[in-house]
Amino acid sequence: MAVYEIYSKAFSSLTFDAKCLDPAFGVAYGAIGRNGAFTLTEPVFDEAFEALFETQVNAGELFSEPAAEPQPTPIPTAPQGFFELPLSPLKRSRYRSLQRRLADYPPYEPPIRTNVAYLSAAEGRRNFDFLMKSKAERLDHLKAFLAKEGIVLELSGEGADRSS
Amino acid sequence: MSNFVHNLLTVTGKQAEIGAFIQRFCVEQEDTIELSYGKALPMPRAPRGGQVAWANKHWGTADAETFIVEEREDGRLTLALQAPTPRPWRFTRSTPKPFPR
Repeated sequence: MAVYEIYSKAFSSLTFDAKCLDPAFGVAYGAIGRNGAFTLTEPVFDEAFEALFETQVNAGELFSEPAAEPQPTPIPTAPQGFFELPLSPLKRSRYRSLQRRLADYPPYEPPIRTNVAYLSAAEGRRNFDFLMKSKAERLDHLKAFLAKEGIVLELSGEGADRSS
Repeated sequence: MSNFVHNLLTVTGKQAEIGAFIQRFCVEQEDTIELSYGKALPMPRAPRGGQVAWANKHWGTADAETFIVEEREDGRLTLALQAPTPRPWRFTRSTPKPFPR
């Protein structure tokens, strides 16, 4: 993506339409570069795309809804008392401090919680859609968490310039 | 090929601008034009962490750096690339860390 941004900035009058499909991992994205900026979009895999790469079912699988509602895979949790192992007073204090700070921070919970390598194309699509829908909300949570620590998160302007 | 990532890049605009884009970011062979990531983001002579790590980080792939021109017509340039599915480097490196033994 960094390379595409360079193209778009160098030739702001041109329009760049990028599509990427990874059938093995069920990952797909699109991006449009215009006026020097690149933004993620919903990719459209038409017949020409499928003919070009001799792929037929992958794009369809990505966007079809799953037949049955899959049950979320439970995340293995640490056994009770795991953190009660002998810790130095300093480590224990740091752990308690971190625990207090993160108490209000909501965990990210995608619809299907398992290793991405074992997701089907449709499952990957569901998780990707969830990620895109909840992105703004997650950023708000992160901003609020960092604000409590005295850190201001900026995604544009001076803050973005400083991190780039 | 299920273990390949399919990439398609379509450039549209004025023909003169597309020509300038090709000149700046592509490598013209005898009968083909290749879009080279290296012309936009050149790899350092001895990148820190090795060439593969650098290419994965900055180009997004280490196995192919060029797009092959699929179609070229007035005001439109279509470039296609099939690259092998990259190994999930971050995952494979970070997984053993919580389990040092």
